[in-house]
Formats: sequence, structure tokens, C-alpha cells
Amino acid sequence: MNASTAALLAGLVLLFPLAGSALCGLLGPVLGRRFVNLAGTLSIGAAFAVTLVIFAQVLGAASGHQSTTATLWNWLNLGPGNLNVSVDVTIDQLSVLMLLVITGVGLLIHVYSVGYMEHDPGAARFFSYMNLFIFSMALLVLAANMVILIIGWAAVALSSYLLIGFWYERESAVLASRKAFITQVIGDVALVIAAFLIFVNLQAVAPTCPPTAVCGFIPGHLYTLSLPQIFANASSLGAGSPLITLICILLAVGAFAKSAQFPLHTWLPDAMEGPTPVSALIHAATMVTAGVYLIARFHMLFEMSPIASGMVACVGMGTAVMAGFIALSQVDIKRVIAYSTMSQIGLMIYAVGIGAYAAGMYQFLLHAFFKALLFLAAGNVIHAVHDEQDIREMGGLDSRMRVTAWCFLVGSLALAGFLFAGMFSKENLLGFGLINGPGAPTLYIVGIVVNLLTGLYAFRLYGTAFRGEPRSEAARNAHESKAVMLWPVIILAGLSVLAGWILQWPVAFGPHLIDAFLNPVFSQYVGRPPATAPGLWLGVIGFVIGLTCSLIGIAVGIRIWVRHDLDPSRALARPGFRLLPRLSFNKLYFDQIYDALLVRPTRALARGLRRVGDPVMDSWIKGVSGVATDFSSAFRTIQTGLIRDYASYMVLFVVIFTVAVMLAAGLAK
Amino acid sequence: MLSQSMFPWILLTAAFLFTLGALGVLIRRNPLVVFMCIELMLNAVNLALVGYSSYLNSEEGQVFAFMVIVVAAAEVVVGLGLLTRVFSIGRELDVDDLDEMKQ
Amino acid sequence: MNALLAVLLILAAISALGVVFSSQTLYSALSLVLTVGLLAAVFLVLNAQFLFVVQLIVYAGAVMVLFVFIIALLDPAAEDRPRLLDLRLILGVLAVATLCTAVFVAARDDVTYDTSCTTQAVTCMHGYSVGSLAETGVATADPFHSFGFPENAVDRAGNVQTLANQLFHTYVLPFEITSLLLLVAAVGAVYLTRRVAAGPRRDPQAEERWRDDLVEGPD
Repeated sequence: MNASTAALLAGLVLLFPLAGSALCGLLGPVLGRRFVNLAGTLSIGAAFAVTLVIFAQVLGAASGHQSTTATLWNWLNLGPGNLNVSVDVTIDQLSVLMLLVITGVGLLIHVYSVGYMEHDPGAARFFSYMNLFIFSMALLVLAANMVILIIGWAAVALSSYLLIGFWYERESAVLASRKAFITQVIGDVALVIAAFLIFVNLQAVAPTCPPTAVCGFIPGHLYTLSLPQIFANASSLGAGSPLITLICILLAVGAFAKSAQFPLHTWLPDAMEGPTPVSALIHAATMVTAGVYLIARFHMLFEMSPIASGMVACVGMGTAVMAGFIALSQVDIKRVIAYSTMSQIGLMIYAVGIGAYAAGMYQFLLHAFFKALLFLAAGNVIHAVHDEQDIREMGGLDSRMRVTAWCFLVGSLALAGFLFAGMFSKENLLGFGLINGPGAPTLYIVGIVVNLLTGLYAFRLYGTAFRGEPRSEAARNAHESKAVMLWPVIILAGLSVLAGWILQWPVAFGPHLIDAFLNPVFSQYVGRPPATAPGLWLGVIGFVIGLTCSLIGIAVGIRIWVRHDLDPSRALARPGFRLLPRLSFNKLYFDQIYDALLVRPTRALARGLRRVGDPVMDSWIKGVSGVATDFSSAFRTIQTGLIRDYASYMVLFVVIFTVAVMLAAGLAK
Repeated sequence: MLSQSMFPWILLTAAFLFTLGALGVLIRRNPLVVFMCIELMLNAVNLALVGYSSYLNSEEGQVFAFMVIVVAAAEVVVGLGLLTRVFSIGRELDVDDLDEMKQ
Repeated sequence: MNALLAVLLILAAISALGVVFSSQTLYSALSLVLTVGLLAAVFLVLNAQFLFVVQLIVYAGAVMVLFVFIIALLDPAAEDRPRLLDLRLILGVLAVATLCTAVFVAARDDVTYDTSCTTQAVTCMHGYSVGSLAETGVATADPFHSFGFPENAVDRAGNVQTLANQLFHTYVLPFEITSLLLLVAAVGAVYLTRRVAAGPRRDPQAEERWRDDLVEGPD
């Protein structure tokens, strides 16, 4: 694909959602709901169509020519040899895969939102924000230099802030959106500092200066933020050096903030305050995966720093198990799914941390399907029981909402990793962990514990929400949602069922099509090579062990919560275990810890500064205003309000003036 | 037609009438009298203008005096209308009493 | 001619004194009528016939009548005499004295109309020729009249015609604008004197409201 085609297609992908956002936002309130529904959805549909074209182009391109970098326009140009920033886009397999999910799943969610937001007065604003999000995310994944990447990164944070706090009259929603944004800013800062470090330290291997770089200040020193150039000259940063480790750690912090990994994870459960389609789009399929994308994109740098990538792997797996643990006790349906997302993303982060990039992206693709499915189905449930989100108040929905219940079951099985999507991606991913990664196979063992926990909480959720007897009036009266909210769910369920089988045909483990697709992207490396796949027998053993653990989790989950054969309360009453449920329910007390460590001291500091600083500032301002007031008070006395006084001033001055002129004329005479 | 000798006296009378009117504006408290003094000032101006016109044999002074008369008439109409309104609200007809512009 | 003029001017001055210093408002008005009439006579003597008539019809006949009517309607009480040591009175008398002296001094021969005057002092005038009178008379330079019109130019053309010539040619724009001004005044008069809820009775509440309205300020 040549550069101009790439520029055109990328430009269209960016333009359609942006136009949709502007149209819905500006004309929506005027033109009404129909227009907003159409404009908001068609824009994403158009973007998806263009993405398919790009995908076809990338698939059909000759090998070695599948990656294209194009410039949309030159943004900032301070002259030759000086700062030069263009809006550059990269179209390669990685970005096109991300785009397919963003626009494809995004389209389904937009269609769903037409139904979900039917009675909401702010629908125009909603679609405007959603389109803005799609645009930002597309910008992020298409970015070919760090400036545009950071812009997209920040725009995504902004859109998520707007969408989480969509129901702004709710105090909890506003607080949640603020929390999300502040946490992400921490990541943004880390990302920016990383960009600075790269910019300052990158040395040119090639003697010539490419057009979009700043060269010549110091001979050989290449100042650039363009991703292809960074990767081409990455070795100059020094494999294994403290510098590269620092850069990678900073990049990782940015990724953790966006992907809600420990320790920057506290915003994700609160973000469920937003409408359910928002949770499906942002907190399942796209934004939270931006961190995974970032590490995958910067794989060359991470491969040069084993410390950083090891840390990434540990954090990822640690978050996965922590989130699984917390999900076991949550009672809000959306929060359970949120922690589930955190856990699955943890697995993805782990994968890119150990160098199994294709595996991580494979998990990303399949996870997008079944997680969006789960969220949308949850949205149907919430709608049916009149906005009740506590699963203890549900029950018996499988007979009342058959389609949704079946789809939710499919999603749960996909999540837990049996038969459907998750089975393939997770086992594939964990298989790499057998021989790659720090202290392998330690993290693999943690990984299969995650499988167990996943099966448990997935079926706890399904069993409590859908099975059994209805536990409230609302649950008793629940009925199925209408078509526009069902079809996206059904389609996603279909994808969850089939995608794994199709992509890994004909064997259910080992290499898969995504691997082959993404291979060229990750084939170049400096430093440690990408993860080696386990051999055939090791792979089979790993697959079997992992699947067994998933099945154990599923089976126990079904027994406790669906069939009610087993009761864990006696086991949990034993001395050592009594603490566990409380820890889990309180999310390991992270919110309270952060509050004590960070929030309270800052507030105290602010109070103290105000007590000290306010009087000083006030005296300044009052001093200035005091002078003006006194002056004007003095002047005021001549404004007596009496016409006669004003007339006498006039006469007085006429007399003075005339005499003066006369004398002047007389003197001149 | 005006001779050289009488012209200064015309101007003097005009000045005298003018300043007398100004004095009246300063001294009197009845707004109607103040108005009349203003009319007196305008008439003094007219006298000066016509005097100049006659002395210099140019009718531009008379044109200007004509305009002055027109403006004076318009002003009297509006001013007396305002005064009537003030009266109908029940305020005193005393310029010292109408001091709402006081700061 | 000069004697007549002198008498008229002195009488005008005296009746002006009456305008300013009468204790009764009606006497002031009547004095003003007299002053206006005397001034009209002066205009006539000064060969401004049109203005003489206009002054009598408009000023004496309309404006002053309006004044008298208003006085009759409003029936104002007589004022107390101003105090002798009133600051404003002193200022006013000072103004009278100063300005009259200044004008008279400026109007005398050796100060004004010196054609050889070359400086830009206020009391010096520079001659220029005006086009319209050229139709009626030849403009000649005259040592005493820096405007250079022939002496009987005004006589020859007749006052109304000459005046009309100026009004409708050179000064047609100010003429039209003043007619607009008259329209505005008429509209203003109608608006100001429209009937409002409170009649001419003294209404403390309306007064209160009016006071509050006006006093409402960032004090």
C-alpha cells in the first residue's frame, strides 16, 4: 500500500467518528433523536468499512511491504533542522487489528446504545462523546510518532472522563470520572517523561538526517519522536542500560494507568458508574487495552530491558490473580465484570511482558468479543430489572430472558476458558509462560490459579444472576430486551463461539492465525528475542493442565451457585480463612490505603497553604483596591447632584479660559 | 448696514445678556426660571450672530441664528415635558431637590 | 439708526435683568417676552427681516406662550431671595463682569478686523470669499470687512431670498437634520406627557419608587 492511499484511508478512519461526534454534539439537540442515532452509528459504520478496506490491503500486500507510514499533514514546522512534527500514521498489522476491534465492536456497541439510551434525554451528548472516543482511540493506535500518540492517549482519557461522568447529576458518577482521570494523568505524565527521555537520548546510527527529525545540534545526535525512527535506532539507547530500563518503566506506568493494573487500578470498578455501553466499549474492549498496545508497540525497547519486561510480567500476573480474588465477593454485576476485565488484561500484560506479543493480542481480540458480550448482556439485565445492579436481588432470569441468558452463558464459558474463545487464547498465552518470563514457570502456576478463580467467579455471577428463584419483585417481572439491544449481543456471542475455532483451526492449541498475521511486526528485535513457543508436547501438557484448572473452577462454581450442592461458608469460617471474604469484598483496602497515603496529606497541605497564603494575597489585592477606592471617594465629593453646582463649574472654567485666551492673544499682540 | 461704532455695543449687549443668563442659572432654584435664563442665553447668542452677519454683510450668521431658534424651540418642548412629568409625580419644583445624580 | 439701536439694546438689557431677578415666575416670563420682542426689533434694524419675523412668531409667539401655559399649569410658588454671600452669586457676578469686559475689549477697533494681522490669534480673522453672494454682488476686498462682500449685497437681493439661497444650497444638510430634530422633539413631547397611573396628585409611593429606581447604583 503506498503512502497516499494509507494517508487517505487513515484520514477517513479518523474523520468519520470525529465528524459524527461534531454532528451529534452540535446538531443533535436540534435535529432530534433519530438523527443522533443515525449519525452516531453510521459514522462508526463508515469507519468500520474503511477499516475493512485497510485490512484487505494489508492482507493482500506483498510480504515485507505490509507496514506503511504516511503523513496526513505537517502540523508544526519551525524550519529545516528545527522542530518538525507531522500527523503521521502507521498502518501495519498491529494497528489494523486494533482498529478492527475498535470500529467493529464499537459499531455493535453503538447499535446497542441506540436502544439503551432510548429514554435518556442526553442521547445526543452520549453519541457525541462515544464517537469522540472512537476517534481518540483510532488516533492512538494509528499514531506513528509519540506526539500524536500522546495526543490520542490524552484524548482517550478525556473521552473516558466525559463518558464515565455522563450522568453528571449523580455525585458518585462525577467522583468516579474524576478518579479515573486523575489516575490516568499519572500515566500520562510517565508517558511524556518517557518521550522526553527518548527524545534526548536517541542517537543516530545512520549518518544522514531523515526529513522529520531535528538533527545537527550535536553531530550524530538524532532528535526525533517518530516511532519508526525510534525503533530503527533503538540500540543506541543501550540494551540493558539503566536508561532504557527507566524509559521502559515509565512506559509501563503509563500502560498500567490506562489498563487498570496494580497499583493504578482503583479507578476501573468505580468507572462502572457510566452507562453500560460505555463500560462495554471502554472498559472491556478498547481503552483498557491501550496499555497492552503500548507495550506491544514498543516491544523493541522492552526487549532491551529484561528488568522492565520482567516487572511488567509480574505486575500483570499479580493483578490478574488479585482481581480474580476480588471478583469473587463483589455484588454489583458490573463490578464483577470489571474486575474480570482487570484480571484478563493482567494476563495480556503478562503476555507482552514475557515477549509473547501475538498471544497477548490474540487474547485481546477474543477478550474484546466475550467481555463486550458480557457487559451488553448485563446491560440488558439491568434494564430488565429496572436499574437494579445488585446480583443478590436478581435470580430466575434464565426463564424470563432466554436469549440474554444463553448469550451470557456463552460469554461466561468463553471467559472461563472452556469450549469457546477464552480457551484458546488463555491456554496459548499461558503456554508461553511455561518456558518464558522471569522465574518460569512460577508465573505459569499463578496463571492457572487465575484460571481457577476465573471459572469460579464467572459461574458465581451466572448462577446468582440468572439461576434459581427470583429474589425480588423486579426480577420476577423481568422480560427480554428489544431487538436492537439483542442483536449485538447475539452477534458477539456468535463471535465468541466461532472466533477461537476459526482462528486456530484445525488444532485447538499451538500456532494460530493471529500469530501468523502479526509475526512481521514483532520479527525485528534488539536484545532479547520474543518469546519462544513451547514445543508440541510441552504445549499439550500445558494446555491440559490449564484447561483442567478452568474446569475445576467452573465445576465448583456450578456446584455452589447453580446447583447449590456445595456451601463454602463452613470452609470460610475456619480461623485462617475468615479474613478472606472481607479482604476480597473491600477490594484489598486499596481505596482506603490511597486515601490515607495520598489524599489526606494533600488536602491537609492545601488547607495549610490556604491558611498561610490567603491573608498575604488578600492584603495585596485589598491594598490596590483600597487606593482606588479612597481616590474615587475623594473625587466623589464634587458630584453633589445639584445642577447649579455643575453649572458653576462650567461658568468658572469658561471665565478662566476666556481670560487666559484673551491674555495670550493680548500678549501676542 | 451696521456701522463700525455700534458693533462693539451689540457684542457687549450680547455678552451681557449671556452672562446674565448664566448668572440666573446659577442663582435661581425654580427650574422654570432656569429654563428661561437658558433661553435668554440663546437669544444673546442670536443677537451676536445677527450682529456679525450685519456687520460683515454675510447672511451665514442669520442662517445659524435660524438653526439656533429651531433647536431652542425643540429643547423647550422636551424640557418642559420633562418638568411636567416631574411635577406630576409630585416632586418639588426645586433644582436642589432633584439631586439623584449625587454620588 | 444708531440711537434707535442704542435705546433698544439698553431696554433689552434692563428687561433681561428682570428675567433673572424677578421673584415671581410669571414676571420672569413676561420680562423674557419683552426681551425677545426687543431683540426682534434689533434684528429688524440690523437688516435681518426674516429673523425678525421668525423670532416673533416662534420665540415670542410659541415658545414663550408655552412657558406661560406651563407656569399657569404648574402654579409654582415664589422663591426666597438668594443670600447675598452665596458663593454662586459671587461667581456669577464675577463672570458677568469679566466676560463683558473681555468681549468689549476684543470688539473694539484696534484689536479686531486688522487685515494685516498675520498671527493665528483668536481675535484675528482671515478673510475668505463665499461663493453664493458672488451671484448677487461682486466680491471686493475691503479694508474693514475681511469677508470681502459688497456693502449692499444683502440689501440688493432681499433678505428672504438670500437666506433661502443659503439654506437650501449650502446648508441644506443642517436644515434637514434640524427638521429631524423637531420631529424627535415632537415625539418626545408626546411620550413624556402621556398619561400614567398616578395622576397629578402627589403620590409618595410613586416618588419612593422613582427615588429607588434612580438611587439603585453600585454605591
